[in-house]
Amino acid sequence: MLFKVALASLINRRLTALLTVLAIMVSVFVYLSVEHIRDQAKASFGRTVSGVDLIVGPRTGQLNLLLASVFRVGSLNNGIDMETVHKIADNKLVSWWVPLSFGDSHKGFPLVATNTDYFKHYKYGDKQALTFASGDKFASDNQLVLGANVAKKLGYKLGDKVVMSHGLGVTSFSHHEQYPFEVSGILKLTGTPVDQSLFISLEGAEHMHDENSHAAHSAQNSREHEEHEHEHEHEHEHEVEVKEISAMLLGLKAKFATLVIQQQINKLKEQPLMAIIPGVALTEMWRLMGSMEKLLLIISGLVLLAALLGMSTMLLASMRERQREIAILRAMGARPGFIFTIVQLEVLILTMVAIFLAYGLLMLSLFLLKPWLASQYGIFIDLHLTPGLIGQTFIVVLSTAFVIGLLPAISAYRQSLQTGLSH
Amino acid sequence: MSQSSPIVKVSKLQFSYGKNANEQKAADNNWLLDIPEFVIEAGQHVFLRGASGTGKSTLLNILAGIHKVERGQVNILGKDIAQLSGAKRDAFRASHIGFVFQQLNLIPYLSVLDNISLAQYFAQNKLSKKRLLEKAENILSELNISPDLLFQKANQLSVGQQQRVAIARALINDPEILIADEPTSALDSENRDAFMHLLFKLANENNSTLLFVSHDAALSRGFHQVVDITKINKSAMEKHHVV
Repeated sequence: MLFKVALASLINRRLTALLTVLAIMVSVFVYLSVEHIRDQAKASFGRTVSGVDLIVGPRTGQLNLLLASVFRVGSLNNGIDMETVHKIADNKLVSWWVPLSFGDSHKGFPLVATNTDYFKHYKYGDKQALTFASGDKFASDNQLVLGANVAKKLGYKLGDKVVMSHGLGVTSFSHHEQYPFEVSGILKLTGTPVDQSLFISLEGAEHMHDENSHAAHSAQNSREHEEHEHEHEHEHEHEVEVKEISAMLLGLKAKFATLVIQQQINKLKEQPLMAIIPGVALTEMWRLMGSMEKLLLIISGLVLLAALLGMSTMLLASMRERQREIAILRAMGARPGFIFTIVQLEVLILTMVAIFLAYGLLMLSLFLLKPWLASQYGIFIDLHLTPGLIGQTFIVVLSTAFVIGLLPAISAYRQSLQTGLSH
Repeated sequence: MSQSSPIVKVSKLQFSYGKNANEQKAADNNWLLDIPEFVIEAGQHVFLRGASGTGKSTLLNILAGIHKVERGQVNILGKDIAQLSGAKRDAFRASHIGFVFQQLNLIPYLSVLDNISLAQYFAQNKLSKKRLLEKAENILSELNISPDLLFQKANQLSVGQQQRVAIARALINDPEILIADEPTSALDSENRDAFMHLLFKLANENNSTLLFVSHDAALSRGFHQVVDITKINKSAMEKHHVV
């Protein structure tokens, strides 16, 4: 009966009730989205790199190096000389190493120059190795391996010829047209930045740049031209020589050596370098993002509060017109507690409906956005909300609603005590 | 009415609104209600007359147990409701007293049946759904209301229909006392006569004691007893009342 009265009372005020539900729905939607995407981001974040003990690069910020080497965001100004690379790699505690060179892109996707060890040693998720969906790693300088999303997005197949451009932008004016690459392999989807990358050999990258500088120089004045001509001919006839790389990944024979090697690299006299531990850097990065995520959470909390206060206002305003109703109920023998309960039931109904609608809306938008997020950003959003998050939402929203609902409910209670039966 | 016994017996009642008012008012002897004695015999139809501001409404609220009485006794059906807790007074009212107001007796957004069921919901002896429906249909047919209206929303009925449904609602729990507070003021003369006729008829059939409150002495025809509030309320008599 209580429920029937509360529901009928809400339906009687359907327009304000609907608007209230919509306001709460939007706020719960924001709250759920922020929480869910944070969960998902955190999970996918920790998956990006695993099994790498140290990342070595030119001296810069820890985050800068991590972003450039793992997430392919930003750039490194300097490189590491090959001599220094070998000095580090020759350390007895180093079990494997992988060179990385950045700076080029293809249609907005970053191009990574490395060697075939990358496919052997780079791990993601729970120490999962990269595997090929088709083809294999590059076998020669003019071959190319594609991340899953790159292949899908650009529609490249095995054997396709691809021309690179210089720089990291989507539009680039200097095309390396003279040196096309042939697709030798396509990687399986990993849910990491690997999916967005193209891989070539270090030597391939050198070839590409030689062609580029050749083309550029040919337009310059003849004196310089002649000087350079000699060099270029020399290089064309012989194997290219890789002089420096952007960064290197290190695997160590023993975990305990990590800090020692890190110290050694940081103190190298040959070149100002730094070594970072991926886990530590990831944690720091997450902490940085964490403060933003807390801000988002606070904002979504405030939005929720505003919506619930709106509901409270709506119910309080309705109390005036419901004075008569309360008197009728009291005359029939309703206790003041009954009136209180009716108002809180209305709060409960409005809030529950709003939560379910918000949940539905989130599912729908995730379902619609999922393919786009995956192909565009390589972000994999799980449609399944954790039971913890759902439970937490119910508890947080309903208890806040209850507390805020106390205002109109207590007002109704007091009114029912004071108002007599007559008009 | 020879073997009648008192169903309502108010004695030495002194009442004013406000929490700390009692000591104050006692000192000044300035009460809103000061009723040495007021008795209604069982089965009587009593017309309580009085202009507004004479404490009529307050007396009704006290008889109904809405207002807590600190001084004096209010015996209804042999029980001093001044001694009962708020919740017990509410339950007592639900089971033993039926109300019909001036107008807007019904919850507008509930159906006629739900309005009647709600009165049942608060009472102690509950009927089955089927019995309740039968009983509601019976009372309504006596009130010349088609059973079809049972499932209509209350606010879709005419005022005259609403007042008649209010009688049905008030009588659904077979209350010993039926209180009507200016129930005809929203009705035109034709509807008013029909309403008074039905009210008497159903009160008789139900053996309910009727307390009819109005300022309009013209309606007092047909009542066993006419009581002027200024005669029982010393405060109104002395015209010291301040609302």
